Amino acid sequence: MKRSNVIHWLLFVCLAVINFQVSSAGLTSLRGDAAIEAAEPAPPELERFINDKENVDRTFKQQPPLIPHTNEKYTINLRVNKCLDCHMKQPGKDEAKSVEMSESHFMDRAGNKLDHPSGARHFCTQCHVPQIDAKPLVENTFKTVAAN
Amino acid sequence: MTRRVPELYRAAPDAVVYMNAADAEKRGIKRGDAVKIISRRGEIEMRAETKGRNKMPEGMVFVPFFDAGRLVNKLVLDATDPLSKETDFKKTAVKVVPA
Repeated sequence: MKRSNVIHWLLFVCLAVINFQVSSAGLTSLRGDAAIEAAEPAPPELERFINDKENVDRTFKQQPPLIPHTNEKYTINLRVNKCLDCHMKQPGKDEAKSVEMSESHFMDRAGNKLDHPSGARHFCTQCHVPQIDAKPLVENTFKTVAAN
Repeated sequence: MTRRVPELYRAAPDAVVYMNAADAEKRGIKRGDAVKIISRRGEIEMRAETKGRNKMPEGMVFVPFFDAGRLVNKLVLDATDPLSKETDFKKTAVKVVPA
């Protein structure tokens, strides 16, 4: 019994050593090489959002469409919603210029049709976000709706 | 840490400090300037943002923790509540100065 105990302990120590070596062998996080205690490298400049006419593809079904333009100066409050100036259904509106709000935004929670956008959808930026032009930092194998 | 979902990364690429425009002006800080955020426990450096998704009230700044390059936990108290073991990472008193 004692002998098997000793073997167990030896095995445990071996595994612990291997584990330690694996975990300390040059793993870099998104933080890069900067040590935790060290001062942070200078922060990168603020990024600018893309300002295109092209829509950004959706990644998955029912994803709130991404905003392909800047919206920094748009006011959205109780009285004003700048987004609706272009994205509201209007007779004679040029479809190519801006995507019209979905039918789902003209329904209340119970699914009843409304003749105005639902109040629950008023704050557009709760779901819709603008995008910068950047490659993912970490490789991602997720297949988007467009790719499938 | 996050930053691994492509569309979320493109929406909010780096951590910034959100602050009220009046607060920033008082300290001679413009949107996009590098600032130092200093507490009695440590300091970090990041860019100031006075617009965007978070409109801060005067006297308060907000720093997210998703960005491994900007460790906001250097500023906060690492004590835990003796009963619940809840950490105190959510708030702390800081000074914001131009870097």
